[in-house]
Amino acid sequence: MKFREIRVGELDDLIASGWYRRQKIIPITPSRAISQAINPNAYPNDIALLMAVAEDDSLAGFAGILPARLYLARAEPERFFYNSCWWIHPDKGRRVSMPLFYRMLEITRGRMVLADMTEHTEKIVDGTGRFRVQKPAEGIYLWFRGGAGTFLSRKSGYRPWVKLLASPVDLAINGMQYLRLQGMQIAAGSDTFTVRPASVEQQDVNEFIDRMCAGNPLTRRASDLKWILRTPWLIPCKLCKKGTHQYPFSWKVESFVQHVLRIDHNQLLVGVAVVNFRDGIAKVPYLYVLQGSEEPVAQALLFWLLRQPVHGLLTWNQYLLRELKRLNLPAVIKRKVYKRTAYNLVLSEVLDTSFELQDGDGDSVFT
Amino acid sequence: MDDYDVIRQRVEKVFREVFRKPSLVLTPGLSAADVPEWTSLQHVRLIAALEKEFALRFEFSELVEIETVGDIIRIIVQKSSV
Repeated sequence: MKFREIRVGELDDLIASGWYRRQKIIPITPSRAISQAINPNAYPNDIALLMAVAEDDSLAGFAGILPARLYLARAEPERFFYNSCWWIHPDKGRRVSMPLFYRMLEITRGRMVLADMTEHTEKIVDGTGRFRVQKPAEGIYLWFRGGAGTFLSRKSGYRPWVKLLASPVDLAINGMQYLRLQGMQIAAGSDTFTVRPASVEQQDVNEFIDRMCAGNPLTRRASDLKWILRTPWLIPCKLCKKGTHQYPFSWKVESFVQHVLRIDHNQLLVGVAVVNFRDGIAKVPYLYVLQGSEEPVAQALLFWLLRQPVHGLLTWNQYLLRELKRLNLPAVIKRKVYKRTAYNLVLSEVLDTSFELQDGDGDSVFT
Repeated sequence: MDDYDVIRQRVEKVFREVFRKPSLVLTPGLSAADVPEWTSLQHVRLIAALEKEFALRFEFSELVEIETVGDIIRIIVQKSSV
């Protein structure tokens, strides 16, 4: 078994190498590599990828490190690192999980955040005694329209006939939902909060984001968003080349669209949202809100989402959850989802236990 | 009973707890290939449990060396004698 470490400045070479081309399972996709190569929080010498390579030259496991900035009050931003992936081959990788994990801790000097763990991984991370595991955040996965066609199509590898077959079911559900949602919007009254497309390049949007981040040590600043929005990690399948590579994490999708929205009230900017549509499901990785406007901004955003070509929402955002509960939005499907986060004990010395992660923290904003 | 045997017994106790196999008997040559429950994630739990039991921290270079139970016991004996 060989252990290889790939630096940020070497990612380009890795994806162009013969070794990479020969791999059935790849340790990083080209879109992730390109994105990480221009991460504004990374230096060329930072290690971005750890790989365990088996005797037959194939991957036995890998782990990814994503440098980020920690903004503490009255201090220069400090560095910390998200674990962006940790994958072990079920047969070849039995012995490599721990070396990879420990090496990640060494490289990051213990300043590591695991932002989206499964319940199983959470137990294991907790068991190492080196992390503070946060209470799982409760979110919601809600369909406000029928999306059986899209859902089944994704499950079957995006076969178009599956979507067609499920369309009568979706049509019937959506007819009923249209009437229910329409009634709700009328009942909500006239909208004085406007939701419009925006850009993080706009000066007022840019400044607003950075102002609203104050006091949130991990929340992405405008400079990060510029980079993130330029380099998503997902590829819509229409653009996919037929290939033999496999990647164990999110990579190819049917559709992926990013939006930046500004929410104004009487010509005053009161909210900025980053919204992703992935295969018909909306996510709100970042929502920056002026204090006191949380409720109307969340409501305006939800009503905007209802007019979009998506059939559901996945969120842990507290403002949106509160508003969803208050509105009691009629749902086709609704279920609780949990987000599990842990951070290293070294970081716990500088982080307040009450800090809140936004939905996009970690690498979720890219996917 | 010498130090090696005492350590081997304590390692065996940890193995039995982590893999929930009360009758598991360790031999120096035993490896992940011989124990179906010894998956990659269970390996993390095993190492963490050993660290707790012996109040030590494994180094990256030591973790890379571990292939068999014998390797684990040898490393713990070395670290305990320092």
